[in-house]
Amino acid sequence: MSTNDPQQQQMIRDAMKAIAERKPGRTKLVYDKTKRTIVAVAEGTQTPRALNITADDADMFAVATLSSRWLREQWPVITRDLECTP
Amino acid sequence: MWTAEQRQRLLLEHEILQREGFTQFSVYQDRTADTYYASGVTLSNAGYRYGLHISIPSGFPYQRPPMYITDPLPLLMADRTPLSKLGVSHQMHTLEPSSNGMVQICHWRDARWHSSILLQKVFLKGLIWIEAYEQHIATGRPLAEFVRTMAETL
Repeated sequence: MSTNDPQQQQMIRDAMKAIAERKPGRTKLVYDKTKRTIVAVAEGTQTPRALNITADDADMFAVATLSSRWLREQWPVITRDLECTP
Repeated sequence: MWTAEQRQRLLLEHEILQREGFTQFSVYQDRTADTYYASGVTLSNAGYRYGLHISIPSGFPYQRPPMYITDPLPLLMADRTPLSKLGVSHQMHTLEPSSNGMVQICHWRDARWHSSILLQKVFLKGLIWIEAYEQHIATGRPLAEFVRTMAETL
């Protein structure tokens, strides 16, 4: 369920500008698996059902942190392709 | 013609999307043409609907797959002109649109694309692009003010 909450929109805007300006912000963006959309949360909020996206994660506008054990188990299959790169 | 590894990878990509909560997206095979694509309809935080479509190129996963906004079509800018008219735009993080005017999102530089990048992460970038697009609509400011530009080199 998405929201049309002005406060949430402002939090998203603040978080995005902080990311774009490569500055730490008071809010961060996460992908909420339950709502299946991007949400802004206050820094330090516990988000067990979310993938974290923060300005500090990587040199690009956003990066997800995958934490599933299943994915780690599958990683050899994925990276096998990478090893074949000429 | 797809290799067995490519087909296995695409199956894996679909499973990752489902397991990681990106269930609004799926990987599909067109059995007639034997082509693959990934797509789905998603909602922005504000509740607006968008269609995202990733065409799987024959060189996948070594080749960067293009991602398009299929809906709304046309996708309008804050000044009510079609975003696709801009073509390649650094300010709006877009690449060459499709022939029917679908906006192509710039999600990864070709030079920095590598085969371990998952479609799930590409869709995630699409979702963030959508949020940035809505900030553009709300403020009139270019999308580049809301998303970080990927560095040219490592």
